[in-house]
Amino acid sequence: MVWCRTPSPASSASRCSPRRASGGISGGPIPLQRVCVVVMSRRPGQHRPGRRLLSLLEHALGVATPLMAVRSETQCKHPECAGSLFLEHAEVVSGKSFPRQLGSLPGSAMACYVGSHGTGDWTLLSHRGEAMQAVATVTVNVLVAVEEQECLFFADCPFLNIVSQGRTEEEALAHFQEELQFLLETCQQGGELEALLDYRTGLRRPLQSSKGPVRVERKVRKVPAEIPAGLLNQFAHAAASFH
Amino acid sequence: MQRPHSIDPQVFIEVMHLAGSRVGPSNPELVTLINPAEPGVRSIVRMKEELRTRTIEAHLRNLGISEESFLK
Repeated sequence: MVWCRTPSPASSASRCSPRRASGGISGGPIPLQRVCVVVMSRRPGQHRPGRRLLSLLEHALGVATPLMAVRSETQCKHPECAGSLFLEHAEVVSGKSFPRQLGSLPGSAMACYVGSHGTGDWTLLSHRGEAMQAVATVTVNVLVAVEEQECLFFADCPFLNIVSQGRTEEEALAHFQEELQFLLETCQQGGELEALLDYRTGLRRPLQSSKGPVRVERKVRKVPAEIPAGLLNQFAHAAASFH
Repeated sequence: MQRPHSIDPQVFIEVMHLAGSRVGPSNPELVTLINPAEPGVRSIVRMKEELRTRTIEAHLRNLGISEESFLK
């Protein structure tokens, strides 16, 4: 089994060798701000994709929740694997030093690897010689206040300057999701995406505005936003300021 | 002060006299209003719906524009 990173201008020489979790990866802590973890297992996650991986990362980072994690689960499509090999990926942005060896996962994990990461796009070459592309996405949960007024529902996120309306709560949230995606696209085109995520989403920061802490008295819902990790190359620098 | 119960988004945009607005590439119904004094400050308006008081207030707040200047 060979992992190799999709060549990028910043790190074209990177190539990673397979490691067994039990054997570990030699070397001491490395001051990474952006790492990628790949875990292979013989069965999918028990609860949801990447759940075990997140638990491992939380333990390794010593925090309740990583600042940002990219999660996906891929199934090896080779006939001989018969769909029994699952791969979990996670990318974590952290200002803390990250240990190279995370240790083995309890249960079904076969291997674990941590390496510096550039673009978020990884290519996995299986032992069968098949290439599988894993394009990671970042999931950001945005807090949205939902309120009913004038026989309409309003979904409001003052941190992102988005407010949407709908005849039902579901419609308002669906419109919010659409507008959020549009905002992310717009900011990405203008090179403002990472700055937006840095100071507006409230990812690990208390809810507060320029006028002070915000008291959210309305119903609050979480709306997930999927962002291709490759768009967040500079986010690691912003992430350092969180710690 | 009399607040409008609802307003057409197109009228809202014209009244705002904003320097910049951008139509969504994937959804032409969505328009980004940009505060010319502070380009990072913006608000997204959905064109095919009547904006209600609650939404108008939010857009004004997002753009840093006082309600008085809009309604007088």
